[in-house]
Amino acid sequence: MKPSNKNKHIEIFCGTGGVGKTTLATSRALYLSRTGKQVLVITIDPSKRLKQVLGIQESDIGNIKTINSNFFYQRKNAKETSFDALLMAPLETLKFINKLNNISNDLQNPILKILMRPSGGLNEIMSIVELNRHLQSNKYDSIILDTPPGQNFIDFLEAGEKIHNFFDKSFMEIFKRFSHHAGPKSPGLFSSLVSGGITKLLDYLEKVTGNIFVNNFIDAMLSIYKAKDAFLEALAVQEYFKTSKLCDWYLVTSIEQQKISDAMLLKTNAKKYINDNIHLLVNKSLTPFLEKWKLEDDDDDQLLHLKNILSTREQRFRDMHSYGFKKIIFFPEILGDSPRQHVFELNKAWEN
Amino acid sequence: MKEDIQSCLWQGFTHSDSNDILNRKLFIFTGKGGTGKTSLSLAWAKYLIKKKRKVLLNDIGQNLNFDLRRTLDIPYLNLDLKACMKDYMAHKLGSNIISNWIMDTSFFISLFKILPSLGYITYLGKIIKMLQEEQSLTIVIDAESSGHALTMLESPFNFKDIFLSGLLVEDLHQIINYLSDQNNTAIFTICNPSIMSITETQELMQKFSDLGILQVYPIINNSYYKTGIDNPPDFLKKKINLEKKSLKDTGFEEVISLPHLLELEEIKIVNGLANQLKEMFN
Repeated sequence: MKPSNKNKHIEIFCGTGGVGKTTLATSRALYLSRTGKQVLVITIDPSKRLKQVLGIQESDIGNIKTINSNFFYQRKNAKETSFDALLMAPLETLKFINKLNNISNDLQNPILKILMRPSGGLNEIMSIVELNRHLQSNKYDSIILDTPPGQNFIDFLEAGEKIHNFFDKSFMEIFKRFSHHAGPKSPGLFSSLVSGGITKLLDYLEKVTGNIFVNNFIDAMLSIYKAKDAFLEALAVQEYFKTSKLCDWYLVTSIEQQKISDAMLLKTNAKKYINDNIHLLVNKSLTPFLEKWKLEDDDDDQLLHLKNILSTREQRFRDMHSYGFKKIIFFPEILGDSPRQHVFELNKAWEN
Repeated sequence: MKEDIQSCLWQGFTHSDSNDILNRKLFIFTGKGGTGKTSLSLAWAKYLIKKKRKVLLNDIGQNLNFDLRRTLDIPYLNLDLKACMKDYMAHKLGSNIISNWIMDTSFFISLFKILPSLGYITYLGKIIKMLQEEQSLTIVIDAESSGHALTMLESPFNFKDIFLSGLLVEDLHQIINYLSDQNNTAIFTICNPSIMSITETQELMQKFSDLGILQVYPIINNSYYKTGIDNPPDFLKKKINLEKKSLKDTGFEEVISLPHLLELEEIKIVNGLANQLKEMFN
């Protein structure tokens, strides 16, 4: 299976919380779909903002939904386009892997349920699996990824390492034993362990947490272990991240927040996992409004102060040219209350 | 019925509640990203310190804003999830050596990575224990944004049915009682005056209330309306009107709001917010 580079492109939106990653990622999807591309936008962010931005129902979470451009605007003679959107639901991803590989699992396991919650510990790992699945499907020209904020973005980048850790030697030891047994439903899995340091470890764990936890935990791990091929295959995605021909990075910031140092820290921490194709997106820029705003001679000091403050905030981002970004793109603040309107207006800003 | 609960929840707090809130021991700040959780939790800690309270601030081991905290002279509680877990295991197993050994095995490293809830539970347990042991202490937590803060506070509830036996059970119930107790804990959910931000806060408050945590107080931050600009330019007028509309459409008109401060430096923003809180609570 040779990937055709031209047709596989990933665009990753990252940044601190509340800067508008989801809205900008969606506007990018709309824009690309209007240029004739087949686009999928995936949001990993557990806050599920895409739900509001795209009008996706709770029941659609975890399934691909096609969004028509006339959801955002309706104009006569305007060419209709569409793109696909997916809100990550780790449980749905696991169900898909299970079905594909003919694995049967007890999805009622309480630990598995906790692990598969949107903010559970496997969210980032599952999104790597999901991304790989859509890359391999060859259905899309572009896949846009809306990542969780801050440290959780780093968790996402480290997902590969986590997968390695997860299936690493000593952790696998216990599961190898279990896989010889009848399956997760067989009783006394715990007691079937007879030797080795792992027994001791589980013994200590059981003292603190009780044996119900330990048994449930082992069953949950076994469920995941059964799907390990899908996880290990997904490691291929890490190579895409590092290849500038295949993957573009968009670091999103917002004038409203002024978190320049946080954004730079994110860039530094991400460095070893990504390539040099990093664009800085500056959202909610007031420059167009400030340029039009002429102070009158009789305006008071408060307005002068206001204009100075707002202009300085804009300038701070313009000064970031020297930090090695491929491009800095400003997106205007949209003065409207509907998320659709935001997406539509921002989609126009990509044209320039 | 549900609407009744909601309108009650949305009301936030009135001046008469403020004294009652002030007397609590554990304050948790959460809310949507970028709404000013960190600035507000620093301002809150600063305000309490000025009132001669003994305050410790923690940000779940993220250890952010070191310089800012030092300039403001806010004592930091040095605690992270891994240290709490290690400490907890040592205490329960009665041996530091065993705890140090097991916590560094790859099995346990993986276990805590994929089940952050275990770390959260021991973290909350440790904080509550400190508060119970030292009656004069107050702890302010600058928590993570909505989804992750929910994971943290949900953890003891989610796990109480799984840890039916073992040494953890009793501690879990203690944590749950402390978090749900109106005399001990207050959770502030911070949002911006926009529909999206308020909706997220309302979803979060609903989830907390489903858990039985009712002492959750929304605060609207960064309001240009509250900044009180006379004769603003047209685009700001539009912004202010949008703010008002968002509050009205979501039923958040009564919720306490703080102004967008016209400052460039973080330290000035924190001090400005501390002054606002003083006016509100005194």
